[in-house]
Amino acid sequence: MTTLGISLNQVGVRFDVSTAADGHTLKGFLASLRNRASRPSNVIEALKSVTLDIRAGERVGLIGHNGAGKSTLLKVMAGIYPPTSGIAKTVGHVCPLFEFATGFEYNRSGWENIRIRAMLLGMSPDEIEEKLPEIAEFSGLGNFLDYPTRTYSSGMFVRLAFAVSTSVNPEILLLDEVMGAGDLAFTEKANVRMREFMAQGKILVFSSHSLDLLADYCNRTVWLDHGIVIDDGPTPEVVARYKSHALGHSTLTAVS
Amino acid sequence: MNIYLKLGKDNLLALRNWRVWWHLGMADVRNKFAKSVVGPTWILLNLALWVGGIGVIYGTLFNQPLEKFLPFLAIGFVVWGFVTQTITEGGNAFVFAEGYIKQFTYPKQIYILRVMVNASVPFIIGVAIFFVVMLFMQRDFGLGMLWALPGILLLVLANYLHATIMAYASVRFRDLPHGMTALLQVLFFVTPVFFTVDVLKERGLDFVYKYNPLYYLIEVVRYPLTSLTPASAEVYAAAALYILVLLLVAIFIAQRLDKRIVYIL
Repeated sequence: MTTLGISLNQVGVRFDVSTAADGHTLKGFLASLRNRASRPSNVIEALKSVTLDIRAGERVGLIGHNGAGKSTLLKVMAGIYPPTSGIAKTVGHVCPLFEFATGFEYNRSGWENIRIRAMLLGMSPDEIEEKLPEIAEFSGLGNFLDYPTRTYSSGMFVRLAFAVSTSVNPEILLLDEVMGAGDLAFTEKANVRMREFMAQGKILVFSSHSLDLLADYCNRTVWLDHGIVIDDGPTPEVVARYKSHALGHSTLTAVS
Repeated sequence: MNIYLKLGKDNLLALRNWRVWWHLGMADVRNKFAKSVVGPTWILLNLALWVGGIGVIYGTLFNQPLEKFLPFLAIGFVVWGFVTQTITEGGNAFVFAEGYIKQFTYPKQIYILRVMVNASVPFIIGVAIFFVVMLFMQRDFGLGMLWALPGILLLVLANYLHATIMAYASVRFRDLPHGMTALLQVLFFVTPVFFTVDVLKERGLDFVYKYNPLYYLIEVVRYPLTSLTPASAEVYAAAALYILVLLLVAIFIAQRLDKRIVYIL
């Protein structure tokens, strides 16, 4: 048994976005067979040879402008995106928390959605029933748990997803920009829980645009730009360099 | 990791986590009949309408004794429904689970098994109704009916592979579920479900069933249940051969698309 950790070696991820537009239909596919050369290749390199090692107890922040590859990197670490080149290895029980408005059954109640999410995160039914009151309590959703989730606001989805994900007691917690959408009261509660989690010496990888939160939670920060790691070190130093750089370049440049 | 090894592991891991797909599948069934007044009784009503309506008309048309034809039609229709549901819903297995696939790390096969659960419920209810029809028509029951069990195993295996192929391929080709729905409608009329093989033989149309793999999948379940003896060896051999072909196709498609599914969803 290898020890808890995330190890990425020369990881690259390439999306072929052209298939989304023309290759997906039979017509487009046949057209592409007939005329292979004319098929536009719209390949986006979301990550380019990223090499990172994260060990037990490390709390790593990810920064970078929108589209820098933060979410992609988290998904690779979670094992959801298989890298298209390089090797990614994650050892430990991973609990991802991404794009929280998806992965819900909109016609079913909050309770039912808690059960489904908890199951998909690896909890057994007994464990779920045991933890259900605590999860419900923590979510603070009260009566709303009886309603179908299609009636929920984005803040309520975050509450539910965060409550479930942190209650599975994972070894590796991967959070993608989740702290922003909850209201003040919930953010406070979430803060307390994050500190409890951090005290246990597990791994946290956390992407955020809130530099204050990063400084608060993370002892190490990785700065991504166009899918490349351009800085990696203690949070205060990386954040300081990022700040001075971001103030100089406030415009977005698309990945070519 | 070797892709074939990974696929094998994923399938096993998915099977081991039966609680997850069982829960998701059963929740789908409940959801399907949510807010419906008669609920799952629709499965019974649907079958009753078929057996009552089509059975009497076609039975007379093809000069079939009703006590033989109605159970034949009932079980044939039930198996057919199982086959078509796994094909059409299998095509949506990954597409509808996109939110889960992009967030959770369980093997994708969980969502194929979820479809299997979802489709098994009407199948099991249908088989029960078949026995009621048999009782009603005062037909004989016997231990030979147990030969349907290996038949059901073959059927489930074939349906799992159907669903797997459809689940993977439909993510890449979104037209596939629509195309299959259209194709299955036609296939229904050329597969011996509401007419017997004898009717075809009399008219020299043997090829209609002989080269139709779905016929064999139906027959391995229907024959023992209606005739109380195992189907002929050729029927089992054809069904097994078809499953082998499906397995090879499924492996071919899955190994090509497995890594890409999450990116093209």
